[in-house]
Amino acid sequence: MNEFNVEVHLPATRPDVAVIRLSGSLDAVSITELEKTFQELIQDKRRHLVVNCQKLRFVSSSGMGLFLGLLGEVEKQGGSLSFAQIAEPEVHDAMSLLGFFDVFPVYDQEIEAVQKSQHKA
Amino acid sequence: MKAMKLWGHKTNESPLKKIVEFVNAAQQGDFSVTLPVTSPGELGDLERAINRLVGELRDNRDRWEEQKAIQKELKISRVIQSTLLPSTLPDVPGVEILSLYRPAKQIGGDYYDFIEIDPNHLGIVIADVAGKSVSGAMLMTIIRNTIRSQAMLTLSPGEVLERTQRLLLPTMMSQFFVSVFYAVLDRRTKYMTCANAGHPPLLLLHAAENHCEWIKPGGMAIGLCRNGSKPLVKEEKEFPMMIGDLVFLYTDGITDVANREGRSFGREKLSEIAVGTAGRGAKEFLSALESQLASFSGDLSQGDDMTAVVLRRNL
Repeated sequence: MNEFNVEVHLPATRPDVAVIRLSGSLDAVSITELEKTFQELIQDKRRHLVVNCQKLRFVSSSGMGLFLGLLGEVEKQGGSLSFAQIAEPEVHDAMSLLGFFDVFPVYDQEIEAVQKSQHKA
Repeated sequence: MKAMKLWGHKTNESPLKKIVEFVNAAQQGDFSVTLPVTSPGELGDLERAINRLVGELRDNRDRWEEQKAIQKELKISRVIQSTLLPSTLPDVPGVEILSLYRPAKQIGGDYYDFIEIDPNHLGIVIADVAGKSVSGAMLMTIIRNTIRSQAMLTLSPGEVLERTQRLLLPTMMSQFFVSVFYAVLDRRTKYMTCANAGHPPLLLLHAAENHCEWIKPGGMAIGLCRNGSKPLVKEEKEFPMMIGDLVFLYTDGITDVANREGRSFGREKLSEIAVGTAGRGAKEFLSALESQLASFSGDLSQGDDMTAVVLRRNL
């Protein structure tokens, strides 16, 4: 029911942006798959990453550690990491507790996140 | 990849004898050589097949030895980590104190601690390090010792967490962060002052009204903001523990326990158990919690560390 799945969308108008749509549970086991996807996108010059959490049901602390490590990596390359459509209250609560919303931009809509993905001055 | 030596043989030796001697040596564990392929036809095919087989055996042995080395490292880390957890529970007259610790993996990322700050003040720490195994255990050791040393310098839990973050940030790897809840209990007045770095809220059962309150001082997890763009200040909250009140500190490994339908145990159940066991001891609360966790998760394996500290004022 909560099988983890990653779907990548590459917006045609933004060759520097990638949208990663997650579903299911992101835990210590499933982060390996996601980490590989992120690395491939970064190598492919997709510096701005938008994580769509609409179908994400659970995120563990190791999953959040992955996002944090990734933030450091994309920022070094002038990129960004943002989140969109966090629908599950438990995911929202876990991120909010840690203080994620003070560090990562969060948007209601994926398209808005894509449009606002840009290098921070 | 090591350079392979060729299996020495005499030119007048029969090919089959050469193969048998080679296989015998491999059977003794000598994978350092390769059988020279000198025979024509099917015998040559056999020599090549034996080389492939011995190559695979060699790779498997190397992997097994690597695993053995990792297991040894993990064992050492586990021993170190077990010495970091308190071996005894603190004695506070009038307050029953218990703990629960169940690591999910060989080396957990959770820890709890009791700090005897001075005769009148007890520090209580519960933390969750994101990043398990050896590196997580090392970070936990550093965090624990930093909090311990800072706790001796001030009674302000907010200041302790703030200083800990300041000291640790320069050396923390970017994918690591730690959530910590730190409380200081005044042994005389039973007042508790607490601060929070991105940790789940403390549960306080008000015995007189038999209702629960979530104590959640604001503050980001340690390691989350590295560029100094956000203030490090940790908010503090203070409350008295009245007779019968129960305080519960825990890590998300408890509230995140999942059932077959993929739903989490959640915080609401904690308050229900606290209300349900009100008037009884901390032990009864913990027993009820453990039994509800077990029936909720069924036969699913434990996904994360489960750590908790419970205090109940009896007098």
